[in-house]
Amino acid sequence: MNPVQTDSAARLFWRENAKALASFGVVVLLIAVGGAVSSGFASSGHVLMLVKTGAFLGFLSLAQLIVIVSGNGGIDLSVGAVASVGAVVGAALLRGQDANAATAFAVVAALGLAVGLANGLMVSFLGLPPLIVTLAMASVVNGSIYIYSKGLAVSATSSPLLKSLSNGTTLGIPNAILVWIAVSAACGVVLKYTRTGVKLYGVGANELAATLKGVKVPRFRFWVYGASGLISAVSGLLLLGYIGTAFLDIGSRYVLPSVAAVTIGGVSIQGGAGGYLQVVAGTLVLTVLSALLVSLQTGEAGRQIVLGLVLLLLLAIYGRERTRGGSLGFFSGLLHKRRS
Amino acid sequence: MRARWTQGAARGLASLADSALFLPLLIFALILLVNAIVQPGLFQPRIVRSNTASFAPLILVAAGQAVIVLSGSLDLSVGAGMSLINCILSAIMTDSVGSSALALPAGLAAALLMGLVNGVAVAYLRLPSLIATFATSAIWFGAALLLRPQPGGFVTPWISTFYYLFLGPVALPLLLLLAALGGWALVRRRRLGRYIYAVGSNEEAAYDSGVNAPRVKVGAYLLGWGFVFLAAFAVTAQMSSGDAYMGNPFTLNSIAAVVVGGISLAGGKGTVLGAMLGGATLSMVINIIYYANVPSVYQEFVKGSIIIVALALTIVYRRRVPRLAGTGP
Repeated sequence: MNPVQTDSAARLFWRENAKALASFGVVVLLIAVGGAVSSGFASSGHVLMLVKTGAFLGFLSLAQLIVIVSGNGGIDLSVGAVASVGAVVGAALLRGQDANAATAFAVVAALGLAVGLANGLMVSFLGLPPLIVTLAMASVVNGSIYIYSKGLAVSATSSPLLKSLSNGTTLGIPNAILVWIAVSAACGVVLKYTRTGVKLYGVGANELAATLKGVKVPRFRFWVYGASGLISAVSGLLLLGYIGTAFLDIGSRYVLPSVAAVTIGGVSIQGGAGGYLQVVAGTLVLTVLSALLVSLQTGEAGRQIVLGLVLLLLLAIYGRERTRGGSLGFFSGLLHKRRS
Repeated sequence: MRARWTQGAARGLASLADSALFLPLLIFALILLVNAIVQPGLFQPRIVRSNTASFAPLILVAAGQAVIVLSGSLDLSVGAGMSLINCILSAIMTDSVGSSALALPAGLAAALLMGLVNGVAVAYLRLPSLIATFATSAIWFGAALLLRPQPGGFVTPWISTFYYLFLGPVALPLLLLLAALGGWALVRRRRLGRYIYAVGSNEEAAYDSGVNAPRVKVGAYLLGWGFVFLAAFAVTAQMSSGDAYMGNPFTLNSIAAVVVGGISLAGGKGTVLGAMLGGATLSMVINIIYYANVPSVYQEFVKGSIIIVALALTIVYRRRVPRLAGTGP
C-alpha cells in the first residue's frame, strides 16, 4: 500500500533528496526574485541574515519533525510554548551572567524534557490524540509562564556567551548558522545511521513491523516526545540569545510555521519518512518567502494572502498525501516515478 | 407493572451510558454545577438568555468544526473565516434594510466559498487538511485585513437589537442554535450524513463500497461552513462592528470544544450535539474563571488543564465501555 516501504534504499534516498533539492531550488528562485525586485535582497550579507533568522524556526522544526516521523498522527503543537519556557526561565536564571549558563541550560533542558515526557505519557501510554494533547499542553505551559511572571514582561536578559552564540559571527558567518549546520549534520548521522534513527522511521512507517522486530513502540514514542520538548526548550534559550530579552509568548508564533516547514520540505505528515535536510529546505522557503513579501511592501493584508497562496501552491506541488481515488498529478509525477 | 418501569429505566440508563453523548453530558453537568456555585442566579431567565447569547458563537463554530472532523478532516481556518465574514457583513451593512438583505447572502456565499476551497484542497488536491487550512487561513485573514485594516465600521443596529431581543424564551441566539441542530438532524439520517461518518471512520472502505469520498468531504466542508456563517453572524450581532482579528481564538477553541464534546479527531466517531455541548462547556469555563475571581493570568492554565482532564476521562471511559466506539444519535 505504501510504496515507500517497498522501494529500494537507493530510490528512497534519491526521492528524499529530490524533494529537498526541489525546495532548495524554490529558495534560490525566491532569492532571485527578491534580488530583481529590491537591490540588496540577494546580497550575501542579507542572505546570511535570512538564513540566520531561519535557524530558530529550523531548530523548532527539528522538534516537530521527529514527532511527525514517529507516526500515528504525531504532531507537537507545544513546541512554541516550551520554547517560551526555555527563554523566560533561561533569562530568569542567567540574569545576564555567563557564570549561570550551565545551571540555566540544565534547568531549561530538564523542564523541556519534563513537558515533552508529559505529552509522551498522554499520547503514547494513554492513547490520547497528539494534536489536542499538545495543544492543551501549550495552554497549560503558556498559562504557567503567565502565572510565574504574573502576566508581566520578564526584565532579565541573556548572557554574553548566549548572545555571541546566537548573534555573533565567526569568519564572517553568523554563529547561529554554524550551529544550525552542526545540528543538521548531527541529525543526518543520528537519523540515518544509528539504531535510534532506524527505529524512529520503523516505528513511524509500520508500527506492527517495529513491534514484531522487538521495538517497544509506546516507550519509544514516549521518549520521542521527550526529545521534542528538550529540543524546543533549548531552542528557546537560543532564541533568547538572539532577541536579547524574553517575553511571554516569544515562541508562540513559531508553532504552525514549524509544521508548515516540515510539510513544505515534502515530509509526509503521516510519518515514517523524511529527513532533516528537507526540513531545513522547507524552513528556508518559509523564511525567505516572508522576507520577500516584507520587501515587496504589500502591507500586512497582501502579505498574508500571498503567503497563503504560495503555501497552497507549494503543498500542491510536493506536499500531497497518497490516497486512492485519483491520479498523483503532474507535478509529483515529475519528482518521482509513479508506481502502479 | 413497576418492574417493567424499572426495567425500562434501567435500559434507558444503560443506553445513555452507552451513547457517545454520555461523557460530554457528564462533563457539561459538572461544569454547570461549578458555574452555578460561583455565579449566583445562573438559572434566572435573564442570565440564561444573556449566556445563551454570548455562548452561541463558540457553540455554532464547534458544530461546524464537528461536521468537518467527523468526515476525517480538520479546519484551522474557521477563526480567520469568521473574521472575514464579520468584515464582509460590516462592510456592506448600512442603515438601509436593503443593505442587510444584500449583506447576509453575501456573507453566506463567502462562507460557502471558503468551505469549497478548503474542501477541494483537501479532497481533490489531497493536501493534509491541517496544513492546507493553515495556508487558507492566511488568505482569509489577509482578505479580512484588506476590508478592515483597523477594527471598526458599522453594523445596522437592528441586528444586535434583534439578537438580544427576547420574546419569552424565544430569541435569535436560541433560534440559531436550533437551526444548526435541526440542519444537522436533517442531514444526519440522509445519505450525506451517513457517508460523512463512513468516510470519516474508514475512507478506503467507503471508497471501496462505492462512496464518492472526495465529494462527501467537500459536502462536509460546505455544511460545516454553513454553521461557521451562523457563528460569524452571531459574533457580528454581539459586537456590531468589524474586526479582522476577531475570529482568532475561535479556531483552537472550536477544536477543543469538539474534543471535549466526545468527537474523535481521527474522524467518524462522535456527535455534533456533543460538540455543541463541548462549546457550551468551554464557554462556561471562561465564565467560571471570571466569576470565581480567579486572576486572569490563570485563565490559559485552567483552560488547558480542563481539556486534558476531559480527554483523560474520555480514555478511562472508552476503556470501560468498548461499545462507545459506535456513532450514537
